Amino acid sequence: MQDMNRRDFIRLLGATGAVSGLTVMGIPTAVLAKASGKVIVVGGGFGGATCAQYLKRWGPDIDVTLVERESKYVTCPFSNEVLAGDLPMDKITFSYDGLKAKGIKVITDEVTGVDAGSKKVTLKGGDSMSADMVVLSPGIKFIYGRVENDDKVAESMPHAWKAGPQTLLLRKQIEAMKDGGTVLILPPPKPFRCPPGPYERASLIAHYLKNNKPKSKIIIVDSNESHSKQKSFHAGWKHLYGMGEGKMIHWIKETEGGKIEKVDPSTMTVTKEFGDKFKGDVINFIPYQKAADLVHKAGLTNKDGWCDVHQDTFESKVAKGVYVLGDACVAGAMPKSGHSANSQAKNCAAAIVSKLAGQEMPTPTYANTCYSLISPDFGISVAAVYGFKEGSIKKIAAGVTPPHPKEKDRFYKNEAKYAKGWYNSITMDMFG
Amino acid sequence: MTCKIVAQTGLAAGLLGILLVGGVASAGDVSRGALLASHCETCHGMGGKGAMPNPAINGMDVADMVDIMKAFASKEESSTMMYRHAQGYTEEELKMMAEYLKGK
Repeated sequence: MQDMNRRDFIRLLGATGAVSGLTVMGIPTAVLAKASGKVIVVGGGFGGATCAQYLKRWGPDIDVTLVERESKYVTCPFSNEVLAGDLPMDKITFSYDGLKAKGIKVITDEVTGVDAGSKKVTLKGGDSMSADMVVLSPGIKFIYGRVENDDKVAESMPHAWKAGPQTLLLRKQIEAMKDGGTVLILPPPKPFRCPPGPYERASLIAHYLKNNKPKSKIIIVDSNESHSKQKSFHAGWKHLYGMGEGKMIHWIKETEGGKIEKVDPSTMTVTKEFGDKFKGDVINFIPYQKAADLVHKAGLTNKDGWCDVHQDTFESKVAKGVYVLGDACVAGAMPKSGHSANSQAKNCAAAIVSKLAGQEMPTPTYANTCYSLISPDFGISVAAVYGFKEGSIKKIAAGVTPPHPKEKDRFYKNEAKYAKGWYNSITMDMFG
Repeated sequence: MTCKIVAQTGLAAGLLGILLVGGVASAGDVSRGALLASHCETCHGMGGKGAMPNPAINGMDVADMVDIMKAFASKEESSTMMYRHAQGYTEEELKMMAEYLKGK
């Protein structure tokens, strides 16, 4: 043994094939192939909170800091249940205590700037910090100016597309509406956060109206030609509420009258391109969307306003060591859902932990499960498994709940039950 | 010389063995099985221990888990959701997931 120096020893270990990515800085560090380093995660939602959790789980020696503007997080999933009066707000509100207990540093502050080159993050409070790698999961921002007055209606026609005070405001307006009133829901053009969201919203508001204000109507004035889980939603609406002109839910696609041109809060009207006008007692105007300001300012967005990433690791295509997750990034065939962000975060964490350990990341694998409730006891879903092929995320298997009544009523009831199980589980994954 | 190399290799392997058995070498390591199973955990709870009413899937016999997933995929076993997920994985991948979850 005395004839063998440190280099020989390391070479021998390499020959066993058991260790890769060795350094010669010291035997213990090399042999353990530990992932160590500092990672800052910005944004504490489905992408960011999950990524911080899995960085710590798979790389316990990594110094992980999560920066989030709010001290508590309100989930968009299940916020339509709050709107419909089926859930209180506190049931969809989570603290970051679970992350802190695992050794993740949580900073409540707003990130005002990210220097992609030096991996320096600047906080509104004035502090700044640097890391080996930065993960950004900042979500979306609303784009105004595409529809006349769209920047003036957040209070009169609440979007409720970022769960929180806006959710409660829209709930208050629905509760105050007279029986026989009309609710207008205005989904933006794709791509937008949570593609089935506006249609689940219509469903659960209809459930509330059916039980409380049965003469009322919902009109979805869509900026799209088709929508997520369309056949299954429409079959459910026909079954539970009635669908079509004069029925409880009426869906008007984009080509019927063109794009929305103007919203007018003084008359509570919506005007389409070819002159059709709709009046609402309650109007839910969901604005056009792009990736959040933070990634725009950091120079990470493409011409369409979203972030191009290497879809195996989620490392930005324009900034090494900077990763973008969730709604803000372009992720091949994956939709902009909470589950997608969670799945992307796990691949990103695996890539970072492997890189910091000097190892190759495991083959990426992704999944999405997205439940929608048509009533509290009637659920539908879309699910998919994805793989990384030829530089992008591609679908391997997928399916949507067959439209009612292709399955027995029990099937749709079970989907609603499992939706709640999904929510309990994914929020535990993020905040537990 | 040969003997010396053999002895040295044996020593190195022995040291590694100690480190691996001690579990220290897993720090900073993420296996394919762990990454695959992390997608199961999204709906079935941490470590696959269940999130009511979604059932626990940890500690199952590996062959049983692979068998039920294949039965979901072929719709021989009825399910609301699982057939859509099960169809997305190869038998080898299902085995890696099952092996990871068995130890949880």
